[in-house]
Amino acid sequence: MPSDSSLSSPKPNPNKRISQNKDMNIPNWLDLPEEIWFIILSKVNTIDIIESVEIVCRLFRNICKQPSMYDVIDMTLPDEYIDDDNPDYVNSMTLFAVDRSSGNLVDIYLEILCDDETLIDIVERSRNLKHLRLGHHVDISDRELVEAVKRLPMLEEVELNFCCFYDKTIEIVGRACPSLKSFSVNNVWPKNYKGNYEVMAIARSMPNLRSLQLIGNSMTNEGLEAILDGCPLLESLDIRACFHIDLSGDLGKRCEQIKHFRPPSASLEHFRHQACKCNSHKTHTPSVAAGHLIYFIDNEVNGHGDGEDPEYVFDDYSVPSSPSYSPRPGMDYDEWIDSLMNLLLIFSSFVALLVRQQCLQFVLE
Amino acid sequence: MASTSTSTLSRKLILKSSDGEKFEVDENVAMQSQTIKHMIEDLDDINSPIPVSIVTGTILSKVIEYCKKHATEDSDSDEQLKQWDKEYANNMDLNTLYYLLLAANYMEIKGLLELITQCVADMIKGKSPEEIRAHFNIKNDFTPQEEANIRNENPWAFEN
Repeated sequence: MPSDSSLSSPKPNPNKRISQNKDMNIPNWLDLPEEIWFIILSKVNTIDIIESVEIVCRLFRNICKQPSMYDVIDMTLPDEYIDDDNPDYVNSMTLFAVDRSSGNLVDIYLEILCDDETLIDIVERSRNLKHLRLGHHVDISDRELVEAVKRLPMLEEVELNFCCFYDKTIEIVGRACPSLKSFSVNNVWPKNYKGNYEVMAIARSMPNLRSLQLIGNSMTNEGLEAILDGCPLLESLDIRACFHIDLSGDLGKRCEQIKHFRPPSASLEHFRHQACKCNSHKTHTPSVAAGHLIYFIDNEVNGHGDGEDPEYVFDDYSVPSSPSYSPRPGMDYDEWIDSLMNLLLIFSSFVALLVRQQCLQFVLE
Repeated sequence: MASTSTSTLSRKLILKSSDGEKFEVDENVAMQSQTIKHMIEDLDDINSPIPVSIVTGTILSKVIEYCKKHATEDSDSDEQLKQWDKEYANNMDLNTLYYLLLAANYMEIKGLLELITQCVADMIKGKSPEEIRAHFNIKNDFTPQEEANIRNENPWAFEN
């Protein structure tokens, strides 16, 4: 080992901490300055911190109790948590971490098992939240997302990865957060589906965006043009895997003027949600299906996916149906939800009536 | 084993490790370190070796390797540089990582500190407390009672 030989050599000004272990040649990791351990541990997922790291030793425990360790909370779930499907366990852990941040939380990532109630609890306790990232079919409704965002005037960034929210929701989020600088909607659509609903909502409601990520979006050139017109301050635009975009004309030239532009054909290698949960062969959770989908797109970008029917990968994946259920323009959000609920009520009472009639007939016979 | 570069645009500096090994490097390479940058500002004679007191020659050569790669601008794309960083960190054994952390911290090389702390953090991810202790040779300094208390204070501990 190269470092070993160097240790036994004379040191003009030896570091006191290292010198204790000089003869052993094996460093004592607990001698590492606490500030370095702090940097290391703040890069570890919150679940690992709470479940494992703080039980390792006193030094780790002290670091893990510091509120600033929870300025950023990353609730990325290991596969076994998703298989266990125990939302209460995960959500109480999330709130435990949020409490430890003592209101200092600025950045949170939540995924599949997080529900409406937990999101609202988090928001109630974290008014300084600036970055809200949701991923992998988080169990949050459109209504509660809007409620949460309305209580967060400081919000600068919203990220939605493989989540199904209506375009109207996106528009309300945009209007509720005038200071929103960064927005991401990364999703997977059937290859032949084209639609500009999401991007039109963004173009209408987020004029101050500096950064926009739309990986795997179904938009066409028309949608991209609306984005460029509606978000004139963009410094970063990521439209990887948007296969209905043709950049050969003037639109391509406009895009190139953006400082950080990633075209549809660029590799998805460093997109952090790509590999997420991809290794599992269990496809019963939507997130796993989504993982496979994005993996498939990556293959296609690299030219290996040709000749295969892209449809097969969507078997387990319920394609978001937002376009057909979007509220009418100008309709209030709550009003829209209520009208949907009313429809549902009417429909269910109709079904109940039918069933009762059938039963009656059966009895009479 | 002093490393040299043929570039004539940049001034040369000599860095001297804790065990007396000397390295000739371009100024822009050495300036990646904030500590050295400040030292140069106070230096009268630029030709005299600059002592990097707590870093051994073996570690210093690895630090310089990193700084050289990151001093040459525009030669690689961001993606290529990330890939290089990844391989650089993956090639280090655990002891080397430890001394690289101390060196990056002392020499104030932000990028290197970021890279190596991330690498160590990735080693912790997904491990049980026992596995973390074994990996880093950390002694459990809790009494059994204290450890049980910590496990029990977590509100979800009883649910699973």
